[in-house]
Amino acid sequence: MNIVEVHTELKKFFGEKLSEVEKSGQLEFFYFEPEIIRDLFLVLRDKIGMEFKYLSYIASVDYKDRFELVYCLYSYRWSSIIYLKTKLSREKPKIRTISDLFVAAEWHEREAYDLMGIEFLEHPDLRRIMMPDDFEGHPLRKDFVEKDNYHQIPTNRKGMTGRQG
Amino acid sequence: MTLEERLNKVKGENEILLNMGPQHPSTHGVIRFVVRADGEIMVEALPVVGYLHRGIEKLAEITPYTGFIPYTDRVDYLASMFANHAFVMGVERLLGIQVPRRAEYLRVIASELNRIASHLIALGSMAMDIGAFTPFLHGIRERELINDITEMMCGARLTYNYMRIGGVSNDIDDQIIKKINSFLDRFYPGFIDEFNRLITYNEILVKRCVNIATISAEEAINFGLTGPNLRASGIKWDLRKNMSYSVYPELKFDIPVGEGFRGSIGDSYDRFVVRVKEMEESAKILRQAIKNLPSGEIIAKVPRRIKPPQGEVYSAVESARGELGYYIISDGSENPYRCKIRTGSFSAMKAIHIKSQGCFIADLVVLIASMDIVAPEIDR
Repeated sequence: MNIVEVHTELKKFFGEKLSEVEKSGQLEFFYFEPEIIRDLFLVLRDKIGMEFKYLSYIASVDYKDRFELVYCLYSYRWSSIIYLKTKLSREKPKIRTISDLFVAAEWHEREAYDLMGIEFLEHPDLRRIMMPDDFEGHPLRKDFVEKDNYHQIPTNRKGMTGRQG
Repeated sequence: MTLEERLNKVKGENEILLNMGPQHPSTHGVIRFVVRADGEIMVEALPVVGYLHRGIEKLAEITPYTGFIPYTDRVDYLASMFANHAFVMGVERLLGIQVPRRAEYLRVIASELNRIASHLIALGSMAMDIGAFTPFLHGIRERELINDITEMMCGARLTYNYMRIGGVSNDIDDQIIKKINSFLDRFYPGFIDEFNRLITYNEILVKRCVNIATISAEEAINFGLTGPNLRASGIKWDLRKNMSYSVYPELKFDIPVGEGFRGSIGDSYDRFVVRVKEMEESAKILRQAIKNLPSGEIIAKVPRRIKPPQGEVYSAVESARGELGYYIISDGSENPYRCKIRTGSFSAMKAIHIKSQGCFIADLVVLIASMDIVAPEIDR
């Protein structure tokens, strides 16, 4: 079951909420509207004939004018892999969690929250995962600027004596 | 929400809080577990990670493609060939480079040697966590021989930086082939038999592992487990077979799955035995790859400055710890625009959190060790 078949099948359920299949480099994917995320993943996981039960990863990408989330799903039954994307606004990126459907999503969502600053609604345990709890900012954003010091520990060589790095 | 708030929110009346790690010998790296326990039974073991976060994904955005290969070694220091392989494969797909056949075979040989080395550490340290020190030394002894071989192949014993975009860095000669052959003669069936008699069939180990943290097939898929952890739950899924890459379709090998060897399917003992069996399969692959090794170039003609066209790619390999993949976005410049690394241990950590609920505190080390997690792979 390849991405085109999945897409035509899903079009029956969601219609205009899905974009056409696009290709970029080696990756074929389609976009979906953020508000249908739970229904969409429920269909993908549980519909007989699809059975995309394994969520491999959720990648967050900062495109300077918007955020994108990339969901990668496998179907062991059909030995196939699909990629789905969604666009979120740059100012207040919010989307519903899918960790109630895929346990694997919980930590990937926490990672996206920590490093990219995307909020997942109804997430059971939305905390920072990599950075310390008192860290300010989201390091994977393109406009992130590292502070000169963290708890009085310098993070660069400004003002240090000796050889400059 | 901070960690303290999270713990206060759910704290029960008769619970005690125990801290395990970050520097605990049985956590396999710098990982911390906050154990909420009611008597000897755990309510949960909450993993706290991030102590080894080096920001490799951010570093990728400021490093040229070729310069990023040494960083990939540091994603997983016990099996860095796979991290190398997945990354260069992704860049090659973006560029559309055909890798010479000899180079592909050398990659397979290096990867499978690395898989044996990684599994030896995993099995040895699991036995050590349970309290048997000697098997660890047996594992380390065999791993030293593999380290010697990789040192001859690429000059490094741990962080190899062996693979290049378009091929590999060094060719192997008759002397190295002889060394690999003599290692294989000693390793399988000889050493594996010895190891099995020493530890795998050892009644103390069996009793410690059987029926501990059993993960059903349905759960394993939902947790996102991959690699030996998934196969131990009885699912025959291996990227080398099901979504084949490199020259794996030409090689004959089986996929060992958990069968409930002594207890139920998917328990800690199954995960142990599946790894032993995987080492046997790796030895079979190595024998075939050495026998069929074609002659020719070891690296394709690649442009001096690597600038892939705009586009995206996801390339994954079956690493010793499961699916290890790179999601790379190229914007046409010399550096990746975004590089997301998907690793096996990251998903396994969530499974540990869930499966620890209701276990004995003493079984937590068995659970952690049987998942074969490596801290830098979680944090990246």
